[in-house]
Amino acid sequence: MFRLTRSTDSAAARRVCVLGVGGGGGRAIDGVVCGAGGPGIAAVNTDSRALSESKAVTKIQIGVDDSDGFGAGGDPDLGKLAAQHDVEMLRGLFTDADVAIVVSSFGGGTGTGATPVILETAHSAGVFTIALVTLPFEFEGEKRKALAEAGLHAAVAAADMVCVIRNDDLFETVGGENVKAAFAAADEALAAGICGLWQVLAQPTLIGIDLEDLSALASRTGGVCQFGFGYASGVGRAQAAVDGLLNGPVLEKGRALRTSSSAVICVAGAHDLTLAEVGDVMAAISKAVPDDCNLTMGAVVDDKWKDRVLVSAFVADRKRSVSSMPLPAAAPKKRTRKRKLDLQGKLKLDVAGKGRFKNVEATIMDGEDLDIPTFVRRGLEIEK
Amino acid sequence: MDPVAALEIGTSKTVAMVGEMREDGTVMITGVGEQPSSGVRKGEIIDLENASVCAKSALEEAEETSNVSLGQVFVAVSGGHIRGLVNRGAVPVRDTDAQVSEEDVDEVMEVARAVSLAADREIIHTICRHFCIDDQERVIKPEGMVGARLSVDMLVLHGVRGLLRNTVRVVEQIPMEVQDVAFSGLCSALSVLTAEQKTSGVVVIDLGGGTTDYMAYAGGVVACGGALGVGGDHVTNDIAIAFSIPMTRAEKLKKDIGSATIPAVIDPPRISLPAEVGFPGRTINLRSMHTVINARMEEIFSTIKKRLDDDNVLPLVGAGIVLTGGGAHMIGATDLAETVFGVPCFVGAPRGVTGIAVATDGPQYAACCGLVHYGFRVQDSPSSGRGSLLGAFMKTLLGR
Repeated sequence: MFRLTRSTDSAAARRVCVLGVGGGGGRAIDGVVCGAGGPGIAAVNTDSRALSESKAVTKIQIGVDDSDGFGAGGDPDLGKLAAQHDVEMLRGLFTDADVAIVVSSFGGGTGTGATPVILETAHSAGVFTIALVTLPFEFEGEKRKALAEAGLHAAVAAADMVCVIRNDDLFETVGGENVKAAFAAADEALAAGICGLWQVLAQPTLIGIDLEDLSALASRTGGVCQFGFGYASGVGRAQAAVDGLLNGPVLEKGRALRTSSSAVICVAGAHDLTLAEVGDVMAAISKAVPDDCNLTMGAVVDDKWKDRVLVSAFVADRKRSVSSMPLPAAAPKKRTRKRKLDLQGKLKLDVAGKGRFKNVEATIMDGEDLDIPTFVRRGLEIEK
Repeated sequence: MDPVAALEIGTSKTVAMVGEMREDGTVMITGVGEQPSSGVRKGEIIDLENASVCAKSALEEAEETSNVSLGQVFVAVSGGHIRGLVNRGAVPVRDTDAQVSEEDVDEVMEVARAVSLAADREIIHTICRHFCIDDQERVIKPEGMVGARLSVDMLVLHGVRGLLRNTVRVVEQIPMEVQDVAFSGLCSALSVLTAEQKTSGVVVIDLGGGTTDYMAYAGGVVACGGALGVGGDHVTNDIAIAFSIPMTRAEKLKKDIGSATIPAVIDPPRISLPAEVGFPGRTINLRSMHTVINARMEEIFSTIKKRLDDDNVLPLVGAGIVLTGGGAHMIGATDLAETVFGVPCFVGAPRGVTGIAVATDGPQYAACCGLVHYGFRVQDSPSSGRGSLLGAFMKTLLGR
């Protein structure tokens, strides 16, 4: 069974800002910029080059002093430090916002380290925070997995709601023959999901979803939920989109939905979205979830979707609630191992930053640090 | 004359040389030792222990090849901290018949030398540019001339005491006695320039690993000199950062195919780096690489041009620019320098030395060969007087 809610504050659109943190987050929101455009989209990174390539309206480079603009080198501590140093700059992002969607790929340096700090900053500014987090691939190894899990715990503590997508699932959705195509497709898919989430929250919706619905869902799951989506176009698009959601790998072939204790579903489409289509989607989903599932549905109409239909779902999974996540108690043991890994990260950074001139007195001339590569200071285009 | 031992602790290599003065006045290099440096960045010592080990093996190698046992050595110093300034000193001529005496000359030089520097700085060289008697400028030899007032322009090369002392300490740890220290840019000038070039005006630029030294001559005398804490290492570092490749790969690319100018046609447009353990193979766009190198080299030359312009030297440079040091090997370096400075530009190799071919051939040994020359000049002249140096007058400060 499900209930339809009519949005109470649909007249005054909520101000939502979307933040892409780190490399992965930045790439994901690039797709959002392309797909829907509009203000309130910001990229936050330590890597100046990645930022310069970002399509976001607002770009914020953090930790210029900590990383010299060359990224955090896979060291979350550095990412965290960078965000802490520039916390005032980050606070400025949230002055006019009601909801912040923070998108980040965990397992690296900037995303993993800076995201919890950013979430805390947003929370302290009175903003409802939703973190959309991708977890690393299995093949990326134990190190990144451990880093991501530690980051996830920090994010859960800081955010109102954390939505988790595993890269393995995401990439199974998109398939792809080669790496580049797979990444591009995954970013596009993620962007579509973010767009849906954003529009549900920001746009005046046909059948609205209240923040209360989301926070209620989050509170039931200890702040962590799974986020899934399906989209399709053409004839039978509504059914195809639901099929994508129910049978696609993002929500474990619908298993997450079938065992969920509560879920928030949103249907998005252009003006040609018919009530019958919305009904089809809802019927299909309510059939899939267990009888005792607390289901909330919303629909949003936005012409940017042209002839597509997007179904996105926030699912509180009984089996995958936060209690089954590895607890921070395991952290001290990992700490020693992490230190070692940090060292490696720093060695790598040494090549990337000012390189071999990092630890010697800088050669400053006319206010320029000559140890930083000339082409960087002059902003020359280099094909890497 | 006793053989002279010279040691240059460079950023990329440490070179020791032993030279003997032959009867015909040429210097013969009889021993050479070379070690890749460690513990040196931008010409400054950052690890005494390692630098000392390198210096020791280089000197031992030189001792072996020359069959000379060394007890003391001349040492070249460099680093971005080394600067030059011109100080003018003046004294009234004391003699009753108004003739300039040797005492007057000694006194005016003493006055000009007494330049007040920051507390942490120390004088490396004071080089007499020219004298001036009353209103008559550019007097080379004032003794016996008539006038009421004698003044002198002195080029004072100075550096940070602590950093200079570090170099001395490296040698003392070997243990070896330091006879004198000399600015490596001056050594390069002594090594590669002819008297004719100095008369018509010339700038020698030593493109080292960690520093770029320069020394300008105009009208036969030293005009200005100094060092820049930027060198070939920066080029390598830029390449390594630009393409995320290890320093060793970047260094090899720079030496093998790097160009200071960006050619109009690059064929083939890309170069592939084969994979090896710990490094996935990849290809690099050569135009991008040349762009990275060009930006850095252009900046180095422009910075030196700015310094030369401050002293208004370039209009007096008739013989052009002479590039030396390891960086002079780079493809397009002379073309780029010509574009930046607007004067002709050549590569200069050590002159007036014979002996072990490897040491006397390449521009990368110019400074060390020059240091051997310098050593003979110092030994030749009484320590209190002024040694004649190709029209200029130089007073070296021994025992510093």
